[in-house]
Amino acid sequence: MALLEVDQLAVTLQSVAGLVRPVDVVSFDVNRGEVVCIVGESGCGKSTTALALIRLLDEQAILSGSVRFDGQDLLGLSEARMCALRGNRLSMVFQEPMTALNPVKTIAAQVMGPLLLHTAMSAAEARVEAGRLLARVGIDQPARRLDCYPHQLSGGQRQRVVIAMALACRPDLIIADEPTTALDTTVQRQILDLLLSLVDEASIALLLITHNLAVVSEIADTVLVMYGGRVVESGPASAVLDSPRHPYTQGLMQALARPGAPRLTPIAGTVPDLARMPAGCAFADRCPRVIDACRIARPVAQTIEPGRTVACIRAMELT
Amino acid sequence: MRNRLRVNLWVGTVITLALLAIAALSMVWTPHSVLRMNLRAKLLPPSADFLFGTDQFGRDVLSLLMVGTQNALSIGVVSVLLGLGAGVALGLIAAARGGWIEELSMRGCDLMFAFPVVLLAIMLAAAFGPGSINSMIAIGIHNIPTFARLTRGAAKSIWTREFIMAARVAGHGPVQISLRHVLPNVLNILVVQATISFAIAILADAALSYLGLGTQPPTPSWGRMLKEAQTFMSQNPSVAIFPGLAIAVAVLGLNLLGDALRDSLDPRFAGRR
Repeated sequence: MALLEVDQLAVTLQSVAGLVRPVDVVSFDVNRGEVVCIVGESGCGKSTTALALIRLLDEQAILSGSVRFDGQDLLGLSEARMCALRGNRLSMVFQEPMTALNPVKTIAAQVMGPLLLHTAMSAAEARVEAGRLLARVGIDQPARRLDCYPHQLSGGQRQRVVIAMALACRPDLIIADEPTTALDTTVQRQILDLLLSLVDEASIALLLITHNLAVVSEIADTVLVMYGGRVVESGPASAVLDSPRHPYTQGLMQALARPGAPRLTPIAGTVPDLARMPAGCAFADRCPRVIDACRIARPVAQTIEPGRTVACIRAMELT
Repeated sequence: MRNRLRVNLWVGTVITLALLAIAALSMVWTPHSVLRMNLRAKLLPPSADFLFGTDQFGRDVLSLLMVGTQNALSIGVVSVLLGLGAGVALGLIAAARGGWIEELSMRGCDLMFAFPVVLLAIMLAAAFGPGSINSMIAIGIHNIPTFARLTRGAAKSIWTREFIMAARVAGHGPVQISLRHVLPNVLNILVVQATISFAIAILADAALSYLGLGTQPPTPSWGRMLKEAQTFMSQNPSVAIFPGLAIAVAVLGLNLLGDALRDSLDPRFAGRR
């Protein structure tokens, strides 16, 4: 049994334009010690999926399907039970380290927060543990940093603090929503290495959400490519990236700067409006290989190899 | 930046402490009795014996001002604390819960805004008799919507910040988030509003006293002294000047202190000191 089993998860929101489904039937598993990446462009539903998993979407959002975390169904838990799990057994790292920390509280107070909430530690013990956590995420002079305020740290250091907070209670699963997007490339690399080492050492499961395929190729074990609220292609990272089968994944790969790549080819057009989703394949309007049959019904995910699915009716004929 | 902050803090602290000291001193000693009238010495200009002159009953203005400090401070403190306590709680709840709770509490505030403080004081006076306590309560209730609105607005903007989401992800509930994350971030504007409300409370008590609803004679009140001085200003300007100065200096001192406190409550400024 996988640590996290997401089955047929869908999110329905009420908007001015009527009911929209930013996440439309997503299924995947995350095992301990595994890095699963969700890739897709802005608005494809990847962040909404993450927030739905930890039940932090707006109260009006209607969730369906099931999310089983270590055997218990998260969607059926009360808010109080969820609060006891969040920050304790599952935690999250955010995109913007500049705003993910409270500007008027010291680093110590913020890292100690989850410890005081979820463990029986005294304030003094929690402070010592906070210093240890800062050292673990690679902040030099952790004892001195404890009494700093967020604005006194650099972006990379702040992201390390955010990761330290997420690690505080030794979670089983960390969800990282674009943890490196706001950082410069060298720091990005360090943060990815840090996350990977944590996954290896503590056999934490990592669900990483990103739009950056370079990040995926570096750390993912399994990759899910999302488009228009659905998973269009999934499978082992190496297989998906080396031989993408869905035209969207192929497009993403061609738009990626790599040594030896002749030239970058952008994907024409934009993501379809959630309120006006086409009846057929959501990617049809941008797809270079579209045929009439694509516009009739949304293609279902078919398994083309063990552990690998593609939601394209032409998946078998295209390589 | 650093020097201005220092000066604000020092001047504000000195004035505030001086007010407290004068209030304490006036309980045991004043240059002249504030209750004994002396009509032969009425409306005298400042002199060695009467430093700030005398009023229309021949009472020493300095002594009246000193005793009036007690009244001014207690009106300010009580009415601000009442407004702050109830208003902040209401504002935090409204911002945290949203929905009909927010709508109800804010429409309640609209109702209270529309309700004149004088009318409230008249009602309280009719029920419990006039006096400074009822005047404090009336002004305090009048302060509630101001603080509630301010807190709600600021708290709502804090609730949209990402660190609140981070706190929720860490497993904090709405009560903990409101107290530990939202309140510290809105404290700075509340301090400033508290100093402003403090000044307004002194003036509001003056207005109520004028109508016979606030502090009752013979208890000295800065505001009432100022109001009564209107009639005698041409004969002896000092009866108007000194109460006016007392109010202005007290308000200035509290504003400076509030300003300095706000800056030092914000680590982004404090870090530069």
